[in-house]
Amino acid sequence: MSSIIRTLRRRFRSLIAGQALDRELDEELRSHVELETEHNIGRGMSPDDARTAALREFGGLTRTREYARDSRGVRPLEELGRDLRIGARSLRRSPAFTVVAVLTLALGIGISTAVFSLVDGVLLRPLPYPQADRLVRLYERDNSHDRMAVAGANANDIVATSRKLSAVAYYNRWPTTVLGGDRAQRVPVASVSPGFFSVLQVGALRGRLPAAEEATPEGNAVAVVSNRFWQNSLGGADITNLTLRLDGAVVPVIGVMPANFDFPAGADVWVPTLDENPYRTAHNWSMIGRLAPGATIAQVQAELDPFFQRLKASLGKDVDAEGIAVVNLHDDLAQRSRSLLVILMGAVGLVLLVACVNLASANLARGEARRQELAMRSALGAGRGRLVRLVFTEQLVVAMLGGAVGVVFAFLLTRALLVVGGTTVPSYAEVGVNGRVLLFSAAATAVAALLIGLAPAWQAGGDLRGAIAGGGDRPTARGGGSRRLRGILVGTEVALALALLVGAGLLVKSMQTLLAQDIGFRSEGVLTATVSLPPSEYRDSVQIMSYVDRTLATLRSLPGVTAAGVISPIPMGGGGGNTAFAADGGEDFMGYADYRVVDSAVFRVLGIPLREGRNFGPADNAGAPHVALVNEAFVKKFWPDGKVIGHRIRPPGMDSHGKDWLTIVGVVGDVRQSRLDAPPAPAMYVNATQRPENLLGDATFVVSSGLSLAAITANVRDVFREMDPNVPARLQPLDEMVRGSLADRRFSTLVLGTFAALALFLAAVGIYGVLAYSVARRQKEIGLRMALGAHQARVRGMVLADAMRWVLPGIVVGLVAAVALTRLLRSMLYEVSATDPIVFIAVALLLLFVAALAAWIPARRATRVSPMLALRGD
Amino acid sequence: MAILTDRLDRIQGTLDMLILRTLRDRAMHGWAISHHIRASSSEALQVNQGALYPALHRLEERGWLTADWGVSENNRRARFYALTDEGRQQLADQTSDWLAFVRAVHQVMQLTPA
Repeated sequence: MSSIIRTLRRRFRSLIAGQALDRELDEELRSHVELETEHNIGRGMSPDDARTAALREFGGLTRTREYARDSRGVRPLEELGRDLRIGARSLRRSPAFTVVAVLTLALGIGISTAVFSLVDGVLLRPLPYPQADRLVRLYERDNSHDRMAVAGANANDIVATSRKLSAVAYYNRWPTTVLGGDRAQRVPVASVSPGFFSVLQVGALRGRLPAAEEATPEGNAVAVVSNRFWQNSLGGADITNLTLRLDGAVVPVIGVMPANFDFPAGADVWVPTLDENPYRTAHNWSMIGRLAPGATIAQVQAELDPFFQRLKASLGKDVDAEGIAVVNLHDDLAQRSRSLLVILMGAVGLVLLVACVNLASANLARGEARRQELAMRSALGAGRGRLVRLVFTEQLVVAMLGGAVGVVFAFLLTRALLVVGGTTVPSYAEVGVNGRVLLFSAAATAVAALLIGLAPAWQAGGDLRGAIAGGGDRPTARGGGSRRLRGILVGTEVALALALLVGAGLLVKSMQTLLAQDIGFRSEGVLTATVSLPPSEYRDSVQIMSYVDRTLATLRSLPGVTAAGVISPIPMGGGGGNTAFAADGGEDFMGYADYRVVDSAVFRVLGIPLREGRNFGPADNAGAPHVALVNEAFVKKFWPDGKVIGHRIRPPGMDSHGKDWLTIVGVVGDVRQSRLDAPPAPAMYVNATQRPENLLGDATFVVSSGLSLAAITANVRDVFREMDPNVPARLQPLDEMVRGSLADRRFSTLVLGTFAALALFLAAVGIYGVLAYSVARRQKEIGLRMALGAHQARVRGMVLADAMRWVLPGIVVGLVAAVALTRLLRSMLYEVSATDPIVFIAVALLLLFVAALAAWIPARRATRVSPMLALRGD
Repeated sequence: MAILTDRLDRIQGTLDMLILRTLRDRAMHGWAISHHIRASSSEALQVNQGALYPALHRLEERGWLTADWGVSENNRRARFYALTDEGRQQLADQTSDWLAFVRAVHQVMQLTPA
């Protein structure tokens, strides 16, 4: 026992006193060599010979020292520390290389970490509800649509019948004018059915949640508000006597939700509701549920599918759903972002790979220059394993520094991505650099260390014979091997950068195509003002139309305003109303079309051309037979013969005129209704004078002006304030709204483009570095050639050809890889094939050009040096 | 024929014993120890320094030797090793073990006693 303690103590002491002992050992060994040298001199040798002999006889100072230290028994620990020290020292000796290497890696690791933090927040981290993986989203589905909103009557039946769901609820969310705060506001109000909060298992932060009996069809018995709304608009006041005015009703606030509760996204007010609409085709609701203990998604599906089949069997065409689709709620919310994130993750992986390849090839070049140093260490007794470790540790130091700086980058980049990403990043995602993200960057660092350290370590483990005598820098058989390896690395870099650039190129081309797209209406110079009229104040069509007419008249009288109209919903404003319709007195539905309420001036403001027939006129008043305009897509789909005028259509449930027939009186041009990248769908326009009800919840006034929008904005705002101070308008230029529909694309194009540019830059630096080094090494040969009369051009050509030998295959491999990879992008492309030849050729030429440029600089330098100088210098 | 110590050392502890024997009468530094072994074996045993110093440090660790910095014959700083009592005891033990071993080997090989 005591001997163990003694050993431990000794080891401990020698670890602490390690350096002191080392110095002592050095001194002892040196004294040995000196004694031997003197002895040799005594035997009649010259001082030089005597010393050489002493050293030879000694057989490697270093080796002896290490053996001696071995017998002290702390080797592995101490050696790691020492390797790190040697590595750091060697890096300090070439600060420029070290800084570039660390920054390159930091860039690679930084962007990978930042993108991973998005992946973590959006895809990996569970939703912020208890047992969030048990939450599901439910959709109705039919033959052609697998994700339809749920009709209230069906939703109520599902709530009543499902046993495999422990809780299930429906909700929707509309911008609604809310009074009672510090000012009238249009905020997102969620109507939620009684089970809503028990599905999510979230309680109120203050006050209470609605009771089941407080749910009414009007949804104005009580309200719960978001923490944000409570703080910002209600001043964080005591809620006991707090009320809001919602749709004219005075609604008591009974609770405040916790700050992190944000479902449905953006909602500021929740009101309990119960839908009593009997129509089973009124797809108005989103639906969520919580799986009962032990139940699976498949079981819910199996339980509810027969329910819809029975409904269909008994009710016929009053039901259009044929079954139910049940999906994990997190998957459903993340769906829009998933493929983009996966692609971005792949892209940053490629950038990191390019960065590593860059450093690996730089290390190979450095490694060759270092062969002398390594050979010396080997002669002094360092074993092969020791050398490999030494070189590898040095790269580990680079990687760790790169990783550390990279994490700092990642903090900043994550913020930047969130700002640039805007709505592309789902609002439920808590994105930040957390433990898992740091773990990821540690893993990325380890992989990077392996990638950049393996080649030089392999090189160090190789044959070092002749390295000392040859000055370490002489081409050898082995040197040829690593030249080939460097060439392969350059080719790899080119291939990776090319694949990324092709991807980015395809996205940019899609974007260009989209921006050049004819959207079918004029968006420049048009100001929009959107309002929600509270139904309590605007009780009928007359009151609504009185507001609309007075507003339009005032707007038209403003200086600089050339035209003003009203439309609901505005194209690309995020809203939409799609309805089934019957035709010409029939009972069966003919199909689906967009349903928009407009006044006759809208077409002029938006520049939508009348193709056929007539616009709405003064004769089409409330008492006259109802008329409609349709778009060209509608004609093409439903009356392909083009003879659409005079036909009658009837959408059953959009407003109170479900039984009334509309006569088609005209055809207008197609517009892109929902997004810039969605083709025009069939649409019908109904006359605001005849069917104004839909203007109630959401009406957008559009104003065109000869002046700049900035000049009329204040006046327009005033008009709405005077018209009804309790109806606030949200003003936005129409082209901004249109561009907003491209936010996702803009984000992916911008980010992927940036990554590709980075990869291109890194590849260029890599090619330049490798060539510059190889030219420097061949300086003598080049000098000789030129002394023998080779022309500059010829020598440059030779250097360029040397580069292209690796660049060209890299381009070919890159193109092949791009063909395979861009298929993943297909869903993000717009009217551009994933193998668009123009993009492929342009990118290949770009890379060729950049590579040639990177090769040209060293090639030029090579021929600039005077041959004599090159020959003499060694 | 010269026998290098790494071969010599195959017979476990031989080098240790030689070192202990060399230091029996007086303290010596490393170089002197190696020379003494070489000279007293008529150049037959050559101690590789790569083996000598590890052995010296090992013996010091075990408490059989003490080491102290001193000044050599030619006024060089050198580390002098001396036997401890424990080392002296070891030398006696190892010597008798060695003799017993050599006698036994001789008998087996049916050689005349040395």
